[in-house]
Parts: sequence; C-alpha cells; structure tokens
Amino acid sequence: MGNLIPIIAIVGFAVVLIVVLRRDLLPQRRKSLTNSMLGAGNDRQQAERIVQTLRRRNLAAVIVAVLGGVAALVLHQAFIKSGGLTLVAAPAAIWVLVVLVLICWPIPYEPKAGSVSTGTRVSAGLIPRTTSMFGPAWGLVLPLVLFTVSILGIVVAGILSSTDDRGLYRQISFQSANEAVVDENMVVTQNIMGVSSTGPFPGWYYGLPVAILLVLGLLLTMLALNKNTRRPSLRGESLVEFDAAVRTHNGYVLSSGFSAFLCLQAVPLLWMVATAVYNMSQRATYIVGQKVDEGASAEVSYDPWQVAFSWSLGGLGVLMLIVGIVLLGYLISWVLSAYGAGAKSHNAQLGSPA
Amino acid sequence: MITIDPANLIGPSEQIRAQLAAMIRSGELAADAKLPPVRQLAGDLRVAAGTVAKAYKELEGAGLVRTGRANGTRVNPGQLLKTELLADVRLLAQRARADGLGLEELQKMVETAWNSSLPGVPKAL
Repeated sequence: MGNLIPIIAIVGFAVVLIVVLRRDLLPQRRKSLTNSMLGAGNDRQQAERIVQTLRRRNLAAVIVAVLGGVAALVLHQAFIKSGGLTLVAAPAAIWVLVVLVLICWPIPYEPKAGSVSTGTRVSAGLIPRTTSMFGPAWGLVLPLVLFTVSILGIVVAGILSSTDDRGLYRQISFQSANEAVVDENMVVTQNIMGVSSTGPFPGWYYGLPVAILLVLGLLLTMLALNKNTRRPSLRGESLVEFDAAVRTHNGYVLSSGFSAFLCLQAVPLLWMVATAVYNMSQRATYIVGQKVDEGASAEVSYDPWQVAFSWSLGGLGVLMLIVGIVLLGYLISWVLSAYGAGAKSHNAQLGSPA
Repeated sequence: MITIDPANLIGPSEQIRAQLAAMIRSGELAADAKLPPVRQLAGDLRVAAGTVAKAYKELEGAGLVRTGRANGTRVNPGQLLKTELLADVRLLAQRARADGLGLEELQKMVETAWNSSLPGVPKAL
C-alpha cells in the first residue's frame, strides 16, 4: 500500500499534465523553430543541424529527468531509514541533472567543417545581448523570488528544528500540556507543561541538502542563461531570425524549467511544515478534578490559529503544486516546439494552412 | 551591423574601428548608445577579443566612445558630423544605387579617388 501512494501520485501528476497540454490551457505564443528556418543551402543545413541538436539535448534532458525521478524512488526504497530525504530533495536534484545536460551539450554555431570557406565575410549586429532579452518577461524575476523565499524558509525551518531520537534535525519541539499530576485517588490535580516534538519537519536534515541543490541549480541555470546569451551568432544573414528563435527557445526552457522545479521543490517542504503545525495545534489536556479511570483520555482541543496556519501552508503547497505543473506544461510545450509541434499554432496565428 | 571582409588588406581591427567611427559620425549610433561587449562582438565576428578591444581603445582615444566599468562602452555625445559631407555621402550612395552600382564597386571608386587624391575627382563621381 505504501508503495502504491507514490505511483498514484505520479500517475495523477501525469494525467493533470496531459490535460493541461491537450486542452491548450497554456498561452500559445511560441514560434516553432522549424518555422524560423529560412534561407537555403548552407544556411538551411546549419539551421537543421541546430534544430537536431536541440531535439537531441532536450530528449536527453527529459530522459535524465525521468531517470532521476526513478532513482529517487529506488533510493527511497533502498534507504527507507532516510525518512524520505531522496524524495524531498528530488525536484532540485532532477533540475541540477537537467541543466547539466543542457550546459554540457552545446548548440553549434558554426557550419560543418569544410562547408564554409575561410574568406567568407562575417557580419555582426551592434545590439548588446543580455540574459533578459531571451525568454519570458518573468524569466529572471520569478525564479529568483522563488529561490530567495525557499532559502529563507529553509533557514527559518532549520533554526526552529530539533533533533529526533537519532540526532537528526527533522523534528520541531513545542510546549504542550499533555501530562497531568494525579493524587492517590487518581484525580487530576494539575496539568504539567512539557516539551513535545513532532515531525517530519524540514529542519537542517532535509533543508541543508535541498538548499545546497537549490544554490547549485541557481548557479548552473545562470551559467546556462549566460552561455545562451554569449554564444556567437550564426554567420548567415538569413539565419538572424532563427538565431534569435533558438536563444528564445533556450531562455524559455531554462526559465520555465527552473521555476517549475522550484515550485515543485516547495511542495514537500510546505506539506511537512503544515502537518507538523497541525500536530502542534492539538492539545490533550486533562481537567483538574477529573478522575482518571482506566481507559480515560484527555480532552483533545485544537488551537484555531495554528490550525488555520497549517491549512494555509497546506493550501500554499497545493497552489505551488498547481503552478509547478502549469510551468512544467509550459516547459514541455517549449521543448515540443523544437519537434515542430508549435508549427500548427503558429500557422493558425498567421492564418495560413498548417 | 558591421562586416569584416577577410579578403580586405586592411586588418580586422581597423575595419571594425572604421565602421564604428563612420556609424557614430553619421548618427547611426546615437549618443550614449551602448556598444556590444568585446567578447560578444569578437565571437560574432569570429576574431580574437584583443582585436575588438584594440578597435574600442582607438575609438576611445579619438574621443568617440567612453568605457566605464559597469556601463560598458558607450558613444560619447556630440560626435555627429555637422558638415555637408554627410549629406554628400548620402547623395553619393543614392546616385550609385540609381546607376546600378553595388556597394563594393562604389567603395573601390571612393578608394581609388582617395588614393589618387586628385582635386575634382569627387565631382567626376
């Protein structure tokens, strides 16, 4: 049964993603790379070579992401005592692997050796290229805000965390009145304030590896965006538009991908905090004067503020999950545009037959 | 857009400098316009970064551009050529087009005229 839950979660996740993609719930402003391939001869050949490279590296990135997810599940099963650390850190770790593939698989900017003579004239535009020119308007702002909030949350949770029986920082301690003093007649004379702890809580045990992966993910994404901007432009004058389309494609893939995985990374952390806060809200207090017979239990009450806070955190987790799925759908749409999937919508926009 | 012709006897650095200077003088590059970073332009033109850096340095020496650490290289204001020469050059280009001449042919003609330095040659054009 325990193994069934992640499978159901993954299937549900995939179904929602397919619905988002099939129902065109995402804005279709993508320009297909294949539609940007103008020109003929060597220019056309070079454009086709670049599109093929993009397809291969995107496919490799998707395969690596899937393998990363499977590896997280296998590792979780293999090291069950890790308390789900591999599953909690999976989104950030998967993104690090994906962006590594994108960095290590460069896009060629020169035609094949021998197809261009050394005496060919070379032109260059005079507009300085910046990272923000290629990709969505929120391309840098959204991931940076999500990253900052995530790191701050992890630090705060880490400071508040306490150790469990194995000495791992994955619990949170709190004051509770769950014990009582009884007299010789088993009558409660007073409640005792004690320290309880609940978990799993995203303390340093979960937070530190996640934070390291997030920082690594941010640095690698910035490097990839920088490389996308700095890559020399293509030689042919008929490839100017295509060159910009390739950079925009990369910018969208990187920005939406990093944002999506940041949102998905926040989900397990928020749900852990929400569950811990809900557990903290429970008060099992005895009434002074109550006789504690065999089987008698304390009256359980809930702190309404803590309950509201835990539900808010849970709701925020659901919201992050939805935004993450939508951004993931956005990312997949961009990836598919390299395979000609965007041609239909682009042609429809232009009013020409597909 | 600037172009480097490897067949040209003039070195790439001088070609870059001359074209940028002409753009600044003609107003094609406005005052305070930012030039691309050295590495970007060098990569796009397939030349060494030092080649572009040398061209930028010469433009800076001539007072056409300024380089700040954070601001990059920007065009200095007041560099627009305020002589009738600019209008003459535009007229020359228009006439060359009307006569069916290509840019390279016109450039060669100007180059020949420049080298011979004979008075009255521009009128003959």
